[in-house]
Amino acid sequence: MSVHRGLLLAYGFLLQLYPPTFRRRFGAEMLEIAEGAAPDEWPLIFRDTSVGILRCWLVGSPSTAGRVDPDAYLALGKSLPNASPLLHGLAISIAILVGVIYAGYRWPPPCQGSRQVLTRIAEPIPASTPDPGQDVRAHKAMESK
Amino acid sequence: MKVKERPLSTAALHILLALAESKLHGYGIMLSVKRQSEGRFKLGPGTLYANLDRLLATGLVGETERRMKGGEKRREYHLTPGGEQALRVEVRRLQQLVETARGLGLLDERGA
Repeated sequence: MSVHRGLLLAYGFLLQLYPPTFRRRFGAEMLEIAEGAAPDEWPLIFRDTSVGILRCWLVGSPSTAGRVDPDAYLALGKSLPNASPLLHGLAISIAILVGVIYAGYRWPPPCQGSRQVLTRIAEPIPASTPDPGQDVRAHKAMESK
Repeated sequence: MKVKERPLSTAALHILLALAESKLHGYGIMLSVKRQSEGRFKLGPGTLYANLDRLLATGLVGETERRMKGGEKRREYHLTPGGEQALRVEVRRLQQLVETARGLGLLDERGA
């Protein structure tokens, strides 16, 4: 699978996060635009679309206003489960999972100070350095006598 | 149709300016905006369609479906008379703004 095809697939999943009414109206055209995108345009496309999705959910849009499907998230109702909300949920779940894994991978952030301390602890104690436990052992030996 | 005097967003203004030239499909609008702004304003698909959705709902832009040679349909967007009026109002507002800036000596005539 080429990089372009992979990016298109990922973009298709991203478009699933739009409200259904908006996606049905403009999704195909947005995917068509992405198909003709040059490699350097992909960051803009992903960033812009992600912001657009958030805006659409938070602020709303004329396409979605007053046309909310009451059963959009009700897969187990009287009717048979619809593929759209299931795909929608899957895409959101994958996005959250990837985010959590990425956050776990990056956390804790590399800390120069802690690395220095660890190096110091791991270093062998030089022979000239007096043994800090020497006095205690001597005192115990005296007491046992 | 009464046009609201509220300023248009930068993206909406660019879209209306692109459509003032000719009927365009989504990708055509993106290319036209890039060309008109000499690459300074890049419109992404998220911003483009969010704005088109609003412009369609307010009646400033209209849409038509055109059948292509291969039989596939392509949606094209055009400026409505209301959209043209809104564009004129906005350009006049920007012109007044520029005149005010020029009066205050804020505008370099060389365009720098």
